Amino acid sequence: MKRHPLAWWGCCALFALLVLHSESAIYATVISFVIAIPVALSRESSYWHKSFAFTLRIAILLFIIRMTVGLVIGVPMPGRTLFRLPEIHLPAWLVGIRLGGDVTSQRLLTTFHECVILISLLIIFGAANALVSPRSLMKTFPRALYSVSTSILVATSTLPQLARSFTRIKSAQRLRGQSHSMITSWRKVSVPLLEESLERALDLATAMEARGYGYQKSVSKYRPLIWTLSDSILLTLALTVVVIFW
Amino acid sequence: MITFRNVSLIYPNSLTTVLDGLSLEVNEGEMVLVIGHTGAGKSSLIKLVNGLIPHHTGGILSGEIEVAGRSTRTLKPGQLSDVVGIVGQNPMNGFVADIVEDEIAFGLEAHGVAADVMRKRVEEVLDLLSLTELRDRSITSLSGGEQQRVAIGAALVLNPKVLLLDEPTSALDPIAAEEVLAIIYRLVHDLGLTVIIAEHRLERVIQFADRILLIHEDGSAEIGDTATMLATSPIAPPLVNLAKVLGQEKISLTIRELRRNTEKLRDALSRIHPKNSPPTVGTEIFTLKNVSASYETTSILRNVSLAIHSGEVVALMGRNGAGKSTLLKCAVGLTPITNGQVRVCNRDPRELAGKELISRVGYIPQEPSDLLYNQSVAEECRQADIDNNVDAGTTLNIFTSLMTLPSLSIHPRDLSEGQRLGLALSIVLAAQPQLLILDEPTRGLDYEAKRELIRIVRNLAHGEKSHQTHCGIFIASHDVELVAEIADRVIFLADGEILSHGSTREVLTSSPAFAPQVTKALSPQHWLTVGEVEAALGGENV
Repeated sequence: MKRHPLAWWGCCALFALLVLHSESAIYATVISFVIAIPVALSRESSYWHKSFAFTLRIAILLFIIRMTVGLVIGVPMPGRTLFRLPEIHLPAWLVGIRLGGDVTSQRLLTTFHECVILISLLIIFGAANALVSPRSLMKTFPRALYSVSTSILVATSTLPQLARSFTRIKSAQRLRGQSHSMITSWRKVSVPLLEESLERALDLATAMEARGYGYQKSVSKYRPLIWTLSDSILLTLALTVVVIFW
Repeated sequence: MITFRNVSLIYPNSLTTVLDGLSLEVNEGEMVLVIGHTGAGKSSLIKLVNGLIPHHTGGILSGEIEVAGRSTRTLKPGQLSDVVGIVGQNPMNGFVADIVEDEIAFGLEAHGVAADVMRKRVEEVLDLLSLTELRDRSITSLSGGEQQRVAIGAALVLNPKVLLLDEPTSALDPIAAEEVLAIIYRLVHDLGLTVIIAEHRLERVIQFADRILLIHEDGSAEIGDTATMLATSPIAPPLVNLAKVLGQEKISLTIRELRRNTEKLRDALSRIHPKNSPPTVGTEIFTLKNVSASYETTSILRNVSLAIHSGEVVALMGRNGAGKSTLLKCAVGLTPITNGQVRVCNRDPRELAGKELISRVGYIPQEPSDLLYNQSVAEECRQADIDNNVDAGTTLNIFTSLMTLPSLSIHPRDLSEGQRLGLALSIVLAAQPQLLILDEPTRGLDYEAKRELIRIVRNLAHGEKSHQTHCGIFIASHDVELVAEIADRVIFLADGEILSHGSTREVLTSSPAFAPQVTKALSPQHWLTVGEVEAALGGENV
């Protein structure tokens, strides 16, 4: 599964474009499943790879939030009424927007549709991260993009660590005898989490600086990344799929 | 090689001077050990040498610092990276690549070294640090000692003349620490590398150091020959204290030296025996019966059975990755147990939560700051009162009885390691738990903070308390000196199984790697601590 970083990222970018363009929940679902296959097949044990599970969890959470919001708030929509939510009447100048009220079949469908597209984009991005660590992606960047690549490196390297810190801090809350309610503990988890990731990002930047990153005019490659035939095949395949279903 | 001329450093928004008028000269091929209390400015001094201060971290600097003839005033750390290599306190945070080999090559890539030269250099460094077998491994899968070696390799690959190390062994078990230090020692002697090393655990490093730089809390500093500095320094390892107790005029820096100097004394000592005073223990408060646990496919605990009683201090020892933390987490129901039974005060901890849990078990994780999330010490204490459902002010009272702080509005992040541990302890103790668990509490603690911790723990377990029963205390640590002072019993864990188990004296004196300095110096007799020897001698001159 060792492909050129740009091959995987190219694939994922193409798929993401297709999802955005087609605006079809079916395409989005199929593509999410297709892209998850190489992730599941790859035997890598790096934490990038493991972070995919975390991405999935976030996707589910996002799905729930987006569905709830979509059903409760919005403009009235036609269609058969499936069930009624208690409605809060808004002042007259907020014409067209309602809180609660009838949930019609079309409302349910539209919301669901939007949700699927949204989370499939997240899954595609998560899969790209799991297949190619952003660190090796950075190596493909030209030197002119030095500051861009540094910020990407620092930003992305905090992600998987964020996942680990989250579980650690979450279990620490149990040790202080706090209940597990999501809303009240949000601030208590996020404050230490943010502090920690900031500290890590600073440490990483310091370490890179101390090793002379970004000072020399020319940069060499220890493992030159070679674009092979299979990389071309992979990308062409993805391109063909996208063109056919566009 | 390194010259400091009248260097002073203060941080903006801070009243204390970190360094005050420091002048010193470090020669090529010298190994200088930097000591001082936590927060005295050891890390700052190290960062000054390669210009991370003031270029990266900030700080107001006066005076002149030169490394290999180059001034750090105008040159940035990156421009000094070919002469100075640095390994930070937490190497894991500074890794750039995912694979060992790539990590080591990173510095060379950044410097644009030609590919064939690069291959050769990487190969040399892998050999030098015995990393050849690990070259393709993912860095996250390595043990703490291995990661430390990778970090040193990554710093050495550019052939620097100076290597800076900030607490390289604080997270390592004694065996891994020895590995790392032996490699550094070899680099100094074989390559003439100049090394500046900051370390709290002096017992591990003094034998390697040429000179010691002691930084006082007021920012003044003195530098001198290792033996002379230790003779007067308030910070000293057990070996030095032992030499003082035995009335030695000359300070010994190695076990061998002390043994050679004290042959007769040791004969005399053999007539007295260390006093064993097993504590009076109460009821069983924590039991494991045939517990096994695994993470994904690797098993971490295998058929572990043990019992902890109230009124005793039990230490859990073992190498990094032996399963110590996993075992401790059983007590709060955070370990996924595949087999066996866990009981805390006759309840399964997995069924407990909230007040029910914390009134039975108090748990201080490896990073005490995990427990802290409020904006000030006072707020933290108030929150703990609410969580624990106790009278307002209880937690604060405990905290002030443990330590004094100039102001309670300090943010927990700005506390020293010791103070943070104290705050976490107060929060946990406010719930009056029957079992107290500490995971690796001495990471980053200086000798003074460690003494304080020992006093607190012993008092909780054995002290006079009329209104309440004594705590049972379970500590995981690879700090042998701490265990020797604090524990009544030791459980030794290896690869998820209990390897040995018995009184502290039995276990520690029978293991060569995990024996405290006093034991090594006075073997075959079974002394553990300096205090013990001092008490036994009782003023009488041997």
